[in-house]
Amino acid sequence: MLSKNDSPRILVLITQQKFSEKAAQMLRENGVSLLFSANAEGTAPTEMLDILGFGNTEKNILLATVSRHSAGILLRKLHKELRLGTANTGIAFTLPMSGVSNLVLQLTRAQSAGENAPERKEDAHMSESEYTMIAAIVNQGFSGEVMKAARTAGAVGGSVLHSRGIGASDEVNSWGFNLQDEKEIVIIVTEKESKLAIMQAIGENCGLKSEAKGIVVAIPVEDALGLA
Amino acid sequence: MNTKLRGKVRESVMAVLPITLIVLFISTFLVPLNIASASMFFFGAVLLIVGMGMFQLGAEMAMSPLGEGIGVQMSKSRRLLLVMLCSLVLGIIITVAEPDLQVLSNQVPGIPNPVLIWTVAIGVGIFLATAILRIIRHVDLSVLLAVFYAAVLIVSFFVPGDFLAVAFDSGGVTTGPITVPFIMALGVGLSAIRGEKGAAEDSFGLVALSSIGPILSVLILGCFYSPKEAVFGAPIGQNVETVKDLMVVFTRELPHYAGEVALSILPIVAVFAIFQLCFHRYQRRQRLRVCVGFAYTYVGLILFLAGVNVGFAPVGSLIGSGLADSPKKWLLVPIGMLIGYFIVKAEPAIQILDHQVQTVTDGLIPAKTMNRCLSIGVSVSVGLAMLRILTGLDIRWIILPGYVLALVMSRIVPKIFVGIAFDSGGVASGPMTSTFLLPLCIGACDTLGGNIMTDAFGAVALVALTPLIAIQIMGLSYRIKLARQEKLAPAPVMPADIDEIVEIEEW
Repeated sequence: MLSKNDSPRILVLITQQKFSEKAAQMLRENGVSLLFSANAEGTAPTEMLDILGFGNTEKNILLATVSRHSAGILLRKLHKELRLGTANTGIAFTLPMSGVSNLVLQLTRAQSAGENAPERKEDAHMSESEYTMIAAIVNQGFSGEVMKAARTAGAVGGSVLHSRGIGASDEVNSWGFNLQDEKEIVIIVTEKESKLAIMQAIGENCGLKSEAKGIVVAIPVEDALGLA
Repeated sequence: MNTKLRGKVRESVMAVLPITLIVLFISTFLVPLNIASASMFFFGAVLLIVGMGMFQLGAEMAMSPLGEGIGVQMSKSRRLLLVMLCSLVLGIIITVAEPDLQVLSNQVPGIPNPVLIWTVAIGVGIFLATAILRIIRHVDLSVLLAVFYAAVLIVSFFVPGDFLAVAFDSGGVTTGPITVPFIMALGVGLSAIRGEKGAAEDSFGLVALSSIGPILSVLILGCFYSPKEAVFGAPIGQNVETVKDLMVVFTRELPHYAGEVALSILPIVAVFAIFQLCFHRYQRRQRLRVCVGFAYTYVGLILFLAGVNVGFAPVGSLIGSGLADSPKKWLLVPIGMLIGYFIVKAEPAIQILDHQVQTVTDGLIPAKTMNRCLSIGVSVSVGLAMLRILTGLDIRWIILPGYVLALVMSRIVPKIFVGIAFDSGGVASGPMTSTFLLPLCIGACDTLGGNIMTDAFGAVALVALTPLIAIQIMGLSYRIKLARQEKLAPAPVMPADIDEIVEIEEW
């Protein structure tokens, strides 16, 4: 059993394509070898802008596994070198893990060993983070409704991932296609204080009883950047 | 400024500016243009930029969600016959309305217009249905392409040479700015809810097969009708002296294009209405977005077509004949290549293709690389077209080996590149090609006294051909690079315990 302090972290970066490329480059130079990226959409600030087509922006989600130690260093580097966290550049945050393949652990350790920044004094306990990540999984086409509800409860912005839902048993149609429903995942990173209100608002407006058939989860965020 | 708006503006400025600068350069140093044509041209360029931006945005908001939605519903359906029937009808109605087809039917001599239009439309419908059946039945795209192109090549021997160029043109021409975004999105939708290997590859290839339809149908018609002299109106430069004249010319043309574009967009709006009534796919906000998107597409296309037809076509013709008239005729080739290189970017559907390729491949093939590849392809094809005009080389000598090469390559390169390559052939030859490149070739050909029917018209056919090869070369180099990487860095010996799961104390 690995202690919380030694475990690797997932570094999540939600930003525009060009920043994402630069960040990936920077992370690679720092020895991070496990990098994944996916397309996402930024949500429109107002409904009107969305309807007029000037709302949703293309975003990219970059995931990296890093050691606990370098998570903080890399976040600060991203902020300093890419100006990530200033207006219009996107957000970055780290998530904890509670289990991992041995390979990942070894890779992050190797990366951490190559870190030339001075060793920080290890905190005895993880500092209480002020942020949390809310993920709402809804039917296709309802991400706008989710954001509308979340905004009333104080959310500032979010990102949408287009995905497929996999049921208890795979539905296979007569042509042998594996059919999976289209789903949208809305990711909102917010202060802990507004977490409950946002989740409740989403649940009320886009919950399982509604057409959106949404479920909401919240995941603790350890460290975050770009949410000031 | 809003980031989205800024992005779109920059995209369309970058698309139209290079070709504008080249024309400025040519008209300053090589072929003096009178100030009337030049001012028309630059005003046309402004319309092009605005129209292009609006069209892109509109296609993204309306065509893509609609195509995707229909694709998703089709793959959910259990009734094969119904799906086939729907795609046949879809193919027919979007093609009948395509403005490029009306232009083509006027250019093809000897065949009554309605006969041509309906045959081509039914051709597209049948091939669209075939393309969808292919995805459902998991048939390899390259096999189907080989079969159909073989059929095309065989029929082509029975058709008079005059017809050949026009037939191959029709393949590129009918897949115009309205059809392409729709069909491309249909492909994405068809593969969107399938969680299996190869789903991403299948989102391409619909445009590829759909553009064989018109080629084959025009060729078959060519067997029955004997061609007569080509009918084409050389674009006339307008006599403008004041700014007022300039505005008058454009405002006179606008209603004409307004009607034409309305005719081509209305069927798709109808499809949207019927689809929404049957399946209730779109929420209120999405519905509004799609409607606004249609409005953008409509206005954008009108501005684009007016700009390119009134501003660009006469200048293309003037430059073509001017260069052919000068003692340095050979300049046609390098200048044609230069224009070809930059004209692709201004083709409205190209950006949509590039973008889709980048999204579906998750950045594996960036839009920039696609663009460069297509530019090189089209550049070569315009060079070849000019060479043909200068030498009178038979188009068969280029088209036949070209398609054979493309088909052979399709057996070697990674599958996803095959779909993208053959799709891009149809996409690369859009309104920019038929209203700027074609007049350029006609102008040159006319001055040199060549056969316009075979020499000039072949240009579009070549533009539709070279991207197939260029993109597949990219696929080939990608494959070689992968192989080399594997060779250089053999899979590291993994310790036995890498797959073990390390538990971490709970938070």
